[in-house]
Formats: sequence, structure tokens, C-alpha cells
Amino acid sequence: MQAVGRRTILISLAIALLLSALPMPGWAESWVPMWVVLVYIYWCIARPELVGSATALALGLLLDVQQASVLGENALALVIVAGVVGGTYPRLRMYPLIRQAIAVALLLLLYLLVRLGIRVMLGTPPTGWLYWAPVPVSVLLWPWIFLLLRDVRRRYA
Amino acid sequence: MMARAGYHRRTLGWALLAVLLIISDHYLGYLAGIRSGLSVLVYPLQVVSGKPVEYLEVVAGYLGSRERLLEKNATLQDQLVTMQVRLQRHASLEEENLRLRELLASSIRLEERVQVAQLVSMDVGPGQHHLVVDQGSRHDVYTGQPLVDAGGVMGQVLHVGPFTSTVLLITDARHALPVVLNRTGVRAVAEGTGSLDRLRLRYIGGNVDVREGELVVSSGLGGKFPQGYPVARVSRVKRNPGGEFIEVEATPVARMERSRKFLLVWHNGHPAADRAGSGQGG
Repeated sequence: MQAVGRRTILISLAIALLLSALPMPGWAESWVPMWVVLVYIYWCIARPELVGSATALALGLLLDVQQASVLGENALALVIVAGVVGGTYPRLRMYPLIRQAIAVALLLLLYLLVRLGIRVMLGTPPTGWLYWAPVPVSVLLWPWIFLLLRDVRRRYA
Repeated sequence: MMARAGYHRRTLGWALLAVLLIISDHYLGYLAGIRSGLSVLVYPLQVVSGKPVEYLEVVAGYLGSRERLLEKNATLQDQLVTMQVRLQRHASLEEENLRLRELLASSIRLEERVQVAQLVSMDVGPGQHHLVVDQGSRHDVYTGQPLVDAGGVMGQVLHVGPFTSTVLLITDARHALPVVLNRTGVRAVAEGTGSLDRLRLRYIGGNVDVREGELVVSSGLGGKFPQGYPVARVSRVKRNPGGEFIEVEATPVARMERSRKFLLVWHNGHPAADRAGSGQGG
């Protein structure tokens, strides 16, 4: 059971990494949803015994390589999100979808805020408000991702 | 509750590790090995994610009508002839240039080793522009190596993995490139603005003659980029009376968003530039 769960989680995270690397026309690049963070948050809520802060670190490092950011930028942000979710997942699980989406929005903002802090401190701040553009898109997708992954979990994990 | 406390302690530990990673990557530059190792894991995902676009292009190629293909063939033929004529002139000019340089006892070599690289994936976020190409340390790629496309300079290699490398584009807000105005020989620095069709030319004095549309080429100062590759065309000149410098904007001549094939250039002085130079040089 655990092995199957682990494999399902790994596959879904790999698909999320793949989706985030999908080539896009220039104007759409800034609006690409934060697939990896969304899928990570789902598994962190649903299977906290399997997916915790160590997974966050590893996944964040892969994101750093993919985005060519400083090694640790995405990792630190994701570990901090993992810390918050790890303290609140019993409640997050019980929320209705709308409230859950609001909570996810806050988590995503926290994630981007940590990355912003790191980049400002290293002297390479992002330019313009488009930096925040992935948040609304991602939040709109959350209910869909939640229901999809819940069905996947019931079947395979 | 005990388990929860343990979880938070572990999370704190991982967070500290991440902070250490950031510091050692950014300030000490120790982690090139780790990044290169991880890039092997990310590489297959990047290749797979690029496939749909490739297939679309293949299908579009099949669907393209015969007339259009013939038309395209004709234009390409025309281009080829023009290019060949130009190349003939170029060859004689190059020889003449070499002879003159010999007269001046200068040791600059004009031929450079080049290698075709293909686009694997492109990542254009706000302020951050980079792309991944399918050449890595296995193919002698080195950090700081220039990348050009058919139009001009694209960027320079930022990280090298075994099979791939990440290239920082000249339009990235973190990038600066020493350039020279081709017509007048005035030196400047071309800074990325974070938007794909704009560069800012800094440090051009207030009394300098700059015209819209003139060509900006790499100056070779700083030793990273070879000299004389086209970089951009001046698109806007704004003079502020009394200011020390004028504000000049330029549009890159490389097709930043559309190119899929590039050339990696082994620049003079780099050890790998001499290796197999004649075999792969072009």
C-alpha cells in the first residue's frame, strides 16, 4: 500500500514538473500555474506521513535547477510552506473547497513572498507585478486539482 | 503531539540547510557539481515537455501545401545565392584582414570553433530569461560561453550540466554585455531590461552622435564575448538636456523568442577552442 502510494505521488509530481516546463508563447509565460507547488500541497495535506519537509527540499532543488535560480531559493520557500501545512493539515482537510482554495492562495503568496525576499537580498529582484500572476491562475485550478488527485489517491494510493 | 514537535524540528533543519545552500551557491559558487548532477534528473522532463511543439511543427510541415513548399524552396535558393556571393567577398576580406593584422604583428585569430546547439526548453519569467540547450560538459561547453543564433548574440552559458546547459539571455535583467556602436565606434554596455525585445545601452556620453536603426556589435572587452557579433539595433534615443549620459534603447537582432537552433562559440584563449578546432570549425 505504501509502495503504491509512493509511486503514485512520484508520478504526479513528475507530471507537475513536466507541465511547468511546457513551452509557452511569450505573453503566457508569466501566467503558468504553479503546478508543482499545488500538487505538493495536495499530497502534504492528504498523505502527511509520506510527504513532508524532506520531500519539499528535494522538490525545491529540482525546481531551482529547472528555473536556473539560486540553488535553495525554491527549496527554502517550499520547506516553509511544508512547515505551515504540517501544522494545519487536519484542519485544511476538513475545509470546504472554497475555504481550502483561500488557504492555498495564502500558502502560494507565502511561497512567492519567501522567494521575493531571497531574490531582493541577493540583489536580483523580479521586475513588475507579473511576478504574482501565477497565484490567481493557480487558485482557480485548485478545486479541479484537488478533486482529480483525490480520485487518483482513492484508486492508487 | 510528540510527533508534531519532531516534524517542526526537522522542517527547521531542512530550512537551515536550504539557507546554507543559497549562501554557498550565490556567494561561494561551490554547488556547480550538485546542480550539474540534478540537471541530469531534470533533463528527461525538459525533453519530454518540448516534444508536443516539435510534433506540431512536423505535422504542420506535412500539412503545408506543395505550392507553399515550392515557394519556400525558391526563396531559400535565392538566399543561398546571395549568401554565397557575400561569402566570397567575406573570404577575400578576411584574408586581407589577416594579412594586415600580420603586418601589425597582432595575434588575434579570426576563426573560432563553433558547434550547433538545439533548444531543449525556454523559461521566460518576469525579469528572468533563460533557455536550455542540448550541449553540456560532455561537449566541452564552459560557463560564460557565448551563444549566437542566425541573427546575432543570444546570451551566455550560466550553468553547465553533463548533457545540457542553461543559457542566460542578453535580455535578462541580470545580464550586461560590453558593446560598441558599429558606425562610430562608441563603447557602451548593453543591459537586459527583462523584456524580450528591449536592451538598454548605458554609459553613452551626452554629446555622442547616435541614430535610430544603427547596428550595435559586441566589443570583445571583458574577454567573454568574441568581438564583432551583431547584438542589437538602436530603437530609441532620448537626450536629457544637462544629463551626463543619454538614454538609448535597442532591439536585439537575435530572434530571441523563435530560434530553435543556435551556435555555441569557443572563444579565443579558451583551452577547448584549439581542440578539434579545424574539425568542427565552420
